[in-house]
Parts: sequence; structure tokens; C-alpha cells
Amino acid sequence: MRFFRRHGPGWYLKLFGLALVDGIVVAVIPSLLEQGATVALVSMVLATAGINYIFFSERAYPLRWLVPGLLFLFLFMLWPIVYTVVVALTNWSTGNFITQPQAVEQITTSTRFLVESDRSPIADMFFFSDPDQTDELDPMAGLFMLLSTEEGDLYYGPPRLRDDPIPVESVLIDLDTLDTVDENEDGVPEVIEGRPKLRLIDIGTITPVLDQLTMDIPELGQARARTFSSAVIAEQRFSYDAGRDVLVDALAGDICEPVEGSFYCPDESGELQRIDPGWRTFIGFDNFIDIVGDSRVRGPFMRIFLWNVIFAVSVVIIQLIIGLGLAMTFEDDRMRGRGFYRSLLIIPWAAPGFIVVIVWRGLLNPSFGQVNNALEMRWLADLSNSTWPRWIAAALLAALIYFFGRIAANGIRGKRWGPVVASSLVTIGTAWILCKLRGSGFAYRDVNIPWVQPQGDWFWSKIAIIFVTVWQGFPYFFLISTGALQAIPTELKEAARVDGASPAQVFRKVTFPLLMVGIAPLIIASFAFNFNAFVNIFLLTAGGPAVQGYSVPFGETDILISFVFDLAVQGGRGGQFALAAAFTFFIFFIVATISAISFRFTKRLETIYGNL
Amino acid sequence: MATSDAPVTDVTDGAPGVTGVVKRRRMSSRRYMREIGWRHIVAVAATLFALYPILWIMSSSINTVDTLTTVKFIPSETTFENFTSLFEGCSWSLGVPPFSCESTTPFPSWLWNSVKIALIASVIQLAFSALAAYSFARLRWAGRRVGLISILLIQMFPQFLAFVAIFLLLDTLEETFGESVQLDLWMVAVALGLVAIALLAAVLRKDGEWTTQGRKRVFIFLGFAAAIALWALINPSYGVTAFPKIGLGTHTGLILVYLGGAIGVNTWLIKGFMDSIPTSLDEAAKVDGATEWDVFSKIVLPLTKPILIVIFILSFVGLYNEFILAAVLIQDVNEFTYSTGMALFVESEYTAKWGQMSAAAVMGTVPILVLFWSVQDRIVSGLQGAVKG
Repeated sequence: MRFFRRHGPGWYLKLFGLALVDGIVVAVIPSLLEQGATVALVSMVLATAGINYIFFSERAYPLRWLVPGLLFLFLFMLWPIVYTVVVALTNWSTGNFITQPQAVEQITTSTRFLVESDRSPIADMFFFSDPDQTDELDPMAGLFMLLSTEEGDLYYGPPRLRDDPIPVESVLIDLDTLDTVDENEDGVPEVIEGRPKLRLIDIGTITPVLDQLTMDIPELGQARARTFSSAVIAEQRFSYDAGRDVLVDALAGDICEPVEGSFYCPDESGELQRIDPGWRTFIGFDNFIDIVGDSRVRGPFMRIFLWNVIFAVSVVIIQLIIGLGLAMTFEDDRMRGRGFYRSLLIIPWAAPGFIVVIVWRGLLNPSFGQVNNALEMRWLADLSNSTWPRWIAAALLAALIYFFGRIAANGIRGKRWGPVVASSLVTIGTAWILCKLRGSGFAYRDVNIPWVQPQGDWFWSKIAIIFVTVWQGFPYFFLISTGALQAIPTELKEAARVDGASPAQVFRKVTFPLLMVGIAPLIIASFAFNFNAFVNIFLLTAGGPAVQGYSVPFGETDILISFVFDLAVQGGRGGQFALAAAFTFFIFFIVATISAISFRFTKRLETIYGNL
Repeated sequence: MATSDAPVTDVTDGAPGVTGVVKRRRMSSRRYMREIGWRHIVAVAATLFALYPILWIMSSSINTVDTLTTVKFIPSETTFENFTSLFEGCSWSLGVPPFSCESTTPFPSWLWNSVKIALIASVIQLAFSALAAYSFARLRWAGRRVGLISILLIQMFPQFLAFVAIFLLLDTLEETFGESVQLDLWMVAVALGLVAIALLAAVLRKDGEWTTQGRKRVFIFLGFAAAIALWALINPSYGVTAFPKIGLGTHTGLILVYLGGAIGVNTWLIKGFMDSIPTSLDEAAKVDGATEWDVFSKIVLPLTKPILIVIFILSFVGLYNEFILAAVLIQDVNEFTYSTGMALFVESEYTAKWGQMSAAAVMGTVPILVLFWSVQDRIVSGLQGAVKG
């Protein structure tokens, strides 16, 4: 008993957990062997061995703490990345989803490939029925079928209708176990289990369904009633020759060769027809070659890629401009309520992305969305249509001239022409609008900008996408710019001012470069993030409007990841897993490039992530 | 400068005549506008820009009018019908979840699913992350730095990018784990595992020699295995499903996939926080005989609580928001999460009930915003501290 007491409860817990992990691995080995998944098997066994080592070796003690997290990291993060490349080398798609043994099994047993030919065997057919169970309306009620083949084998069971919408298996019943009466000893019983054999005149009720009567006989085929007393046994069209790895077509005696994961059989004219289903198999770099070489695939890829880059770059730049501008606006300690503003400004960034994007989709609806509504500016029309007195216009104009005139005068005195030009332009412009508006009958125009519509306009769809993404991300840039601005020593700016630099020069030469040192890694990260802004695309435009004329479906606003999603998942046109994986590989490549660039900032990133 | 309340300012700035005399007075309104007022105007404009859609959904969620065209920002009549209609077709029932829904858009189920999945996954993520962070922060081992950098690199690859492979991986897992496995089978697995461990112990025995203790240990393992196997075989536990099934369309599968992201930035953050806890504490405890686990669970973990709460909230919100993996892996409308469920709205644009959708959006957004605001200061100071370097 000393042995048991040496270890605490933790030791037993560890043992139990390890045993469970080991046991599961041991238990799935047969199924993996069956599937022929050698790579998965080897890596699984190695990983389990590693885990056992870690938990039983004192030297690997620090790793024990990492095992739970690492296990899932490897299984659901790293393995999928590797697996993507593996899948990209196959033909994995809806029509080639299963393994070859599964496909062969389906082809050689599917009722789709049952054929009758001149050589198909014929069997004598008899019906049995219990008079108590017959039903005028349902000829199938209580009906049993007996088949007697040329070899003298008997098959007995309830038949089924071949095209029955609710498929019922016809189940063979072992005749030897039944109580049968064979008085004339011709091998065909007259009564089975108390059910008498039906005479020809009794079969009348069956007539309407006769050509549908079917009985499945495993190993033999499908017996189909041909006359009232005979059935033809439809046989599987294909049989598999494992030695040569080919299908043999019983119909014409042809050989069907496997090509890239499907059997192809010659039809009457000698043309090769693909037999569905196919199976998944390695086809080398065909998918990649398609992407690079096939213009019908390369075209979409290049277009999507170009838009993806434009999208991500413009979003990041606009976000930076707005965020930085706001941060500089807030950069005055005398301003009150900054915390309050910040709590509200943070909302677009903090609110669930999928919700705000859906809301924006409603607001941007071309025909009844609020954005177009607001752009119609009915209030302006209302204002202009009421003929407000001339003196109001005059007073407004006078105030305008006074206000901007002073600015202009100051500018002239100080020989700074910028304010002079700007204020003159504003004055003239506003005066013009005032004159135009007053009593001009300015009517609002219906604004129907086709922002987000399946059949919408590519330009406005793209603008909408950029707009919403910018809206979502500008608070983030506001926050980081604020932090970065605070970090810039004020002495530097003051020294520049003392040396005679204008505010614009101070910003360009001092503030901005110093700012970039701080936020460059985050800008790169943000670029990578927006490069894959799937939710925004998917929920706002779903990639639309669609582009016609390519062999792969895609839309004007599709970015790579949403395009890949459509290829792999979307109902109807999806299921091209291998091609999708090949595209994913390109996304990996791009993300890896971005990561490599940001790896130069590793030192910085370490401090960033160590900071919260 | 300017430690006092705005809009009072240092007069020496503007009036060169009185240099040296620091006198404070109220700013003139023109100067206030030029220096501070415009900042408020910009801030209010930006805030309105930020709040525009939020205000709209709040308004239309309580508006009686259900179309978009006639909706005025201030509703003439208000109602809570949009909210109550979300729960139509649902009734309380015993079990988990404590309600059942029979409608084409079962909001309560979606909300329940989302909260359930995000909660379970983020708690486990946090646990895994804290364990890993302790190893990085307190234990010394070769490859520690490489490990940290690798984590940083790996987490630059968003997990969802590999969704094709994850989909196919779960499809494969379904072949093996697609059925709810009964308790006794799991026990058999444990027994098998113990046999495997015993074999390993026998093969890898120290210096190739049988020690009494080593032999004993192997026999003990085998004994355990036999006992458990026997118990599993004679125990009438058939029908007791101990583990839910794993595969496509299951929440368990989705949660497991989410656990793949457990080790990442969060590990860094916790590690950074643990680094700031003085090691003298654990050394003292170790002198008193505490094991590494004691130090972790009784000293370091309680002190790390502030950051753990923040990270828990962040990863909860992150998983609650997750869309693409949930959309790929879960197909049944009743099993949808909130994010994939809400997406149904945009599928039928012209039949969409704007009011109901706004109510759903408000219900999905407000709790998240409250959560976010509760840790806002920490996030903001973390972000801003980051760029200060």
C-alpha cells in the first residue's frame, strides 16, 4: 500500500487523463489504418508519445504547463494550416468527397447502376398473401413475393415499389425457418406461414403496380417484375477489379479506367463518361497551375487580389487620417469631457462587428435606407421653398462678410495669403448658396445611390464597403494615435517652433515621423486584419455585384477570403474544397509576407503585448 | 501648464505686455472658440458619426412603424413589440436550455448558443493560457524565448483563414467521434491507455534493468487497466453518454476549434503581468514546502486576477463576435450562434422586419458594450502604453 500513498491525488488525475488520451489514440488507430491516413496516424502516435514523455519525465516538467494549450494549437491551428496545403494538392470537392474504397462501394452497390440486359437472368415469380390482410386500396398490403431462379434458389420476402417516395427496404426472409407446405413437391411451396399462393386470377389487384414491383436480393441484384409470373434480375452494371484497379462494365463488357479520382467509361459512341461519385486523390499542383495558368481562373484571382489590396490600404489610410485627426483634436489638456467622448467614440470598434455591419446594410439600402434619405436633404428644400424675408438673407450675408472679412483683413496685414483666399472663397460660396436657395424653389432630388444591392453598382458597393470598414476601425486608430502623441516629448515640438518651423512643418517633420515609430507595427497588423475583413464583405455585399463570364463565380467586392468562402461553402455553387485550399495557400503566403515584415518589429511587439 | 480647469488659461500666452505676471482669468469667448471650442465641435460631430447607426437601431427598435422609409428618428409612437416578438414561438421548458423554440428565427436559442459556446471556450482558453503563461514567466527552460516568439508569429495567422481544412478536419473527426460515445467505452479507452502506458514503462525502463519499483509500477498500471476494463464490461451503464459527439454541426466541435486559439496574445499578456509579480513570494512559499502547483494556484493566480478578468472579457467578446467558423461548421438553424443567426436577416432584404432586427441588434449589442466599457480603461491604457514603447 505504500506505493499508493506515495502519490497525491494530482498524480492519479494525471495518470487518468493520460490514459484517456492514450486510450483514444489506441482506439482510433484501427479506423485510421482502414482510412489509410498514414500521416495522421504517425503524427498522432508521435504527439501522444511526446505527451507521455512530457508527463513522465522530470526534465520536461516546464512543458507540462503548455501541453493543454499546445495540443489544441497543433490540432486546430497548425494542422489546419498544413492540411490546407495537403488539400490543395488533391481534387477534393463535392463530386470527389469520399475515399476510393467508399466510391467503389457506392458505384458497385448503388441502385442507380442496376441494369437489365438480354443476358440478365429471369426468375419465376409467385405471390403469397394472407386473405385477411388484403386491402382493396393498397395492393401491397400483406403481399409477399417468392422468386425461383434458374439455379433453383428460392428468395422470399415482401416486395417494394421501385420508385417509392418513402423507400422501404424489401427484406429477404429465410425460407428454411418458415412453416411451408409443398404438396406437389415441385420445389415451390403452396402455402407459406399460412399465406396461400395467389392464383393468376387473384393477382388482378396488383396489375397497376406490377411494373413497379421490386425485390432487392443482395449479391444477386434487383428482381423486377416483368410479367405476372416472371421477374428479370437487374444486375449491377459495374464490378470492381481490384487487381487491375478498374471497373468492369457488364453492359458492354468495357473496362473503365480511373483518371484523377473518377472512373471513366466509354459509352455507345466510344466517348468517355465520368461515373459519379469520384473520390479524392492527389493530383499534384493542378490547382495551383490552374490559378496561375488558366486565364479563366487567373483573371478573377488577379482582380480580386488587386481590389483586396486597394481595399485594405485605403481603409487603413483613411482610418489613420480620421483617427490621427481626432487624436490631435483631443490633444489639449484644457478640453473637458474627453473621457466621455472617448467612451462614445469607442462604440464602433467595441460593438459586435456582425451586428453593426448588418445595421449598416439596412441603413445603406438604396431604396429605403436612411443614408440615402439623409442625403436627400429635405430640410434644405423645405427651407428654400418657404419664401423667407429678404432681410434675413441680407443679415446673414452681412454677418458672413463681417466675420470672414476680419479674417481676410488680418491675413492681408500679416501678409499671409492662405486665410485671405480661403475666407474669400467661403464668403462667395455661402453667398451664392444663400442667393440660390432663397425662394429658388430648390427641390430635393430622390437620392438612390445603389450602395449595397446584389445587382448594384460596383463603384458604390466598393465605396460602401470602405466606408463601413473605416467607420468600424477609426476609433482604434484614434486610441493608438492618442497614446503615440502623448509619448512625443513636447520639448521637441517646442524646439522646432523656436527654430521657426510652421505648425505644418512641425507636424510633417517632427510629430508624424515620431508617431510612426510607435504605431507602424500596429498599422501593419491592422492592414493584415483588414486584408481579411471577411465579415464586412460577406454581410454587407456578399461579394456582389456578381461578375459574369468567368468559370469561377465571384463578385466585384469579393476579397480573397470571401471568394474562397464562396468556393468552398456557399450552397449550390460551392464545394470546391481543393481549389479553395489552393487559394487559401496564397492568402497564407500574403499573410506570411506581412508577418515577415512585422517580424522586424518583434522587439517592439514584445513590449506591446507585454504591456496591457 | 493648464492643471486648472478649462477654460481658464495662462495669460502670458496671449498678452505679451504682462510678461512675468502669471495672472489667470476667463478666456474670451473668441479665444475659447479658437483654442478649445472647435475641438468640442469636432468631437460632437465625430461622436454623432460614431453613434449614427446605434441611435438609429435604438430608435427603430421601439418604433411601431416596421418599414424603413417612414421611420422618423424620434418615433411618434413607441412599442416594445419588436422585442417581445423575438421570443414568439418559444416557451419555458425543463432541461438545458430552459426553453424551447419553434420558429424560423429562434433568437433565444441563438443567444443561448452564443453565450454558451463563448463562455465555455473562453474559460478553458483562459485556463490554458494562464498555465502556459506561468511556464513562460516562472519556469526556466531552453527554448522559452523561441516559444514566445513562435506564439507571436503563429497568432498573426488568423485561425479562420484555414476554415476549409478545419471543415474537412471536423468531417474526418466525425467519422470517429460522430456518435455520442457511451461511458463504458470511454472507460475501455482509459483501460487501453493504461495498458499502453504500462507497456511504455516496461520498454523504457531505467538503464534497461528491472527495478522492484519499476516492475511494481507496470503491474499497478496493468492492474488499474484490468479493474477499469472489468468494471466497464460488467457495469450496466449502456446508454449513458458521457461525452457529446464531435463533428460538423456540433457545438462541441466548434468549441474545440476555438480552443486552438487559446495560446496567443493572451498568453503574452498574462505572462507580462506575472513577470511583474515579485518572485520573492514564490521563493518564500517554496522554502515552506510549496510545490510549483501550489505557487501557481495559491500565490500567482490570485494576484493575476485583474488581467485575467480583462482577458476573459476580451476573449468572450471575441468569440461571441466570431462569424466565419460558426458559419462554416454549423448548418442547423436551431444550432446557430447569434452572429450566424443575425446574418439570416440580410438574406431576405425585402421581407426583412426592420424593427425586429433592430431589437435583436440592440439586445446583442448593449450587453457587449457594457462589458467593454467595464474594462475600457485597461484596454485603452494597454493600447496606448503599447505605442509609447
